[in-house]
Amino acid sequence: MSVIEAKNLKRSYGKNESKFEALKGVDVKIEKGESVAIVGKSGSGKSTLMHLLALLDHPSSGEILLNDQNTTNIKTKELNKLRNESFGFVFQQFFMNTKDTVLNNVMLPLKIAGISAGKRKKMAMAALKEVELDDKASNKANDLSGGQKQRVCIARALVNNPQIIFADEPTGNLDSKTGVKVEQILFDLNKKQGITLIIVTHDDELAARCDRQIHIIDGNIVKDVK
Amino acid sequence: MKFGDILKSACTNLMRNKGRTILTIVAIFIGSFTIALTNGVNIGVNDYIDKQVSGVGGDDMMLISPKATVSMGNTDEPQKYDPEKKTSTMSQNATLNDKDVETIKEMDGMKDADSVKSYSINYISGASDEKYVFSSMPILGSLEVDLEAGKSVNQESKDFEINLAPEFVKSLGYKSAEDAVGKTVKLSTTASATGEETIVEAKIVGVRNQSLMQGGNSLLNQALIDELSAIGEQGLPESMLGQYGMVVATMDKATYSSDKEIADLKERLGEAGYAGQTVDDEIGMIRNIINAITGVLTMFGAIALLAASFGIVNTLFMSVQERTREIGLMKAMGLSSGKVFSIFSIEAALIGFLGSVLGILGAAGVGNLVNGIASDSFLSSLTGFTLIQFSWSSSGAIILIIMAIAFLAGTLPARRAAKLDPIESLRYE
Repeated sequence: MSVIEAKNLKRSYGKNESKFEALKGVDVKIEKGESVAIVGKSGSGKSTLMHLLALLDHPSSGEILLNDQNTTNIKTKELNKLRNESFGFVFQQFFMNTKDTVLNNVMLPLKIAGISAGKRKKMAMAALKEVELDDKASNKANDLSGGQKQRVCIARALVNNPQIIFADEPTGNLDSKTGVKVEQILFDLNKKQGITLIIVTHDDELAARCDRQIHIIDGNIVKDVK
Repeated sequence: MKFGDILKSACTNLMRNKGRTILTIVAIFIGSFTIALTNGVNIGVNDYIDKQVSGVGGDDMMLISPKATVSMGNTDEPQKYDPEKKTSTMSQNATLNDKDVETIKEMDGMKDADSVKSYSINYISGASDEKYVFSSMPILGSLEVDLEAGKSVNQESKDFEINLAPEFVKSLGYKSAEDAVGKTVKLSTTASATGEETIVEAKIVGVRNQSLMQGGNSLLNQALIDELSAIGEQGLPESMLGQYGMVVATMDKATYSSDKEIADLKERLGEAGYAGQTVDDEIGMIRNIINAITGVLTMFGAIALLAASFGIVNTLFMSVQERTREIGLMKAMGLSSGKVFSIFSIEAALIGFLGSVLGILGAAGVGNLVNGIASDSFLSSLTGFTLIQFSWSSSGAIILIIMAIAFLAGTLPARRAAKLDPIESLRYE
């Protein structure tokens, strides 16, 4: 069963002469529990594809099926709920509130979901334990190293038990040693908990560790290797 | 996101840049302080005036005198003489008689009318035997007398009773207001026809509080006034008896309560050749001046608030700018635009709330200080006058209005934050 599927996905920016096609009709089908790397140079359209799959952006044409359900006509309110409950995000630049505690950062998606404070804390501590940072829960996020920050971000991404984790260059800001550790956590989650992993990267080594590599050049999928 | 969490994140956001938040709150504080203080003065002064009004006479009372006309009348032509109508000009003062009292009493909207008997008192003397010029007046309408000691004069009593003005206590030779109560004073009056002087003895039953409106005026009961008036008229020819300068009428409050109805009643009195004046008319002037002054000051406060609300707009715009990525992230995680809007507009309302509460507390503090100084110095002669007063309702209203203004100011930046596109904001450097 495919967890997410894109059919003839097109996305263009601007109008008339300045019109730019970032995606020129992409078909992808990602199975549940797969780890997929979307590989391509900058400007190839890989980020655009990820944004579309993560339902952060609307395609110009084509459709996206989440659990075999068409998402084209879902209302904004339900779309927000869907993103909150089914997806986790990890970004290259972490995007943490550095002045806040680690725990509060991890609890953010649960706070948005409207989960009660007590339950929130329990779930966040469990997620922090998963990335082996439960002892840093009350530290300020700013006091952590880069690798630790990214692990907190992974905890934040998995705290709501998502179906899919989207990771945009998760190791891009880390040195190779800490990068490996972050990768390990991501792939462990993928293997042990069956969370589908979609990683956008231009790092071939990271891509090679995934079950499948989708290569994008100029808005077209040129290679899809399993 | 639950409302409690929205409120909490608005609070944490405010705490994140304390300096900026405090400066914005100070701006609101200045406006709210000014408005709260002037509002306090307004309440204080109006409250005192109300007390004074009820000390002068009931609010259903109307003083009626012959209407004064200029010799040219109120039109361009000289006015025709009408023996039925009272005419009073600069040089000639008409008086009212029992017939006028009846006419007024019969008028629609009047419950009762009574003549104010004229009398004259040459001097008063008490325990010290010194003679003092004495001014006094009868009790009019349903009067509540503001007393420092003793009790109000009894209108039904046959005894001669006085509520003494406080200025006379020491001069007449009494140690205190309490000491004066129960003592007998001598009043000298003269018959206007014969010039013969008579001494009338009256008992002090109470001592009045200081009064702004009627400083130095004592109150006499009806029996004493009847006696003084009778002595004054001794030996006068029949035709000169029963002449009054003024008639006190009681309005029928059941049907005549609104300002418009009272104005209508005055108009009909005017047509009949009388001029009517309510207690409120006499004091309305002072009230209008106070209201105008406080009104202008409140306007200054409002201008300060207007400036402060631009401060809120600016502060929150900066805050939105700083938090663009955070907002983008939260929106990516499924936070709705509506909730983003609420976070920022509640932040603005919180600034308004803190500023207005601090402003009112500041005004209350300064008000207490000023009241303390005032009652020891320039207002010491006006007992019962609290210059600055605060009421829960008006303070609450000020807080709510300022919060509403702050909220409105916050909607602009909040709207910008709500409209942010998550992808764009996450790319934002």
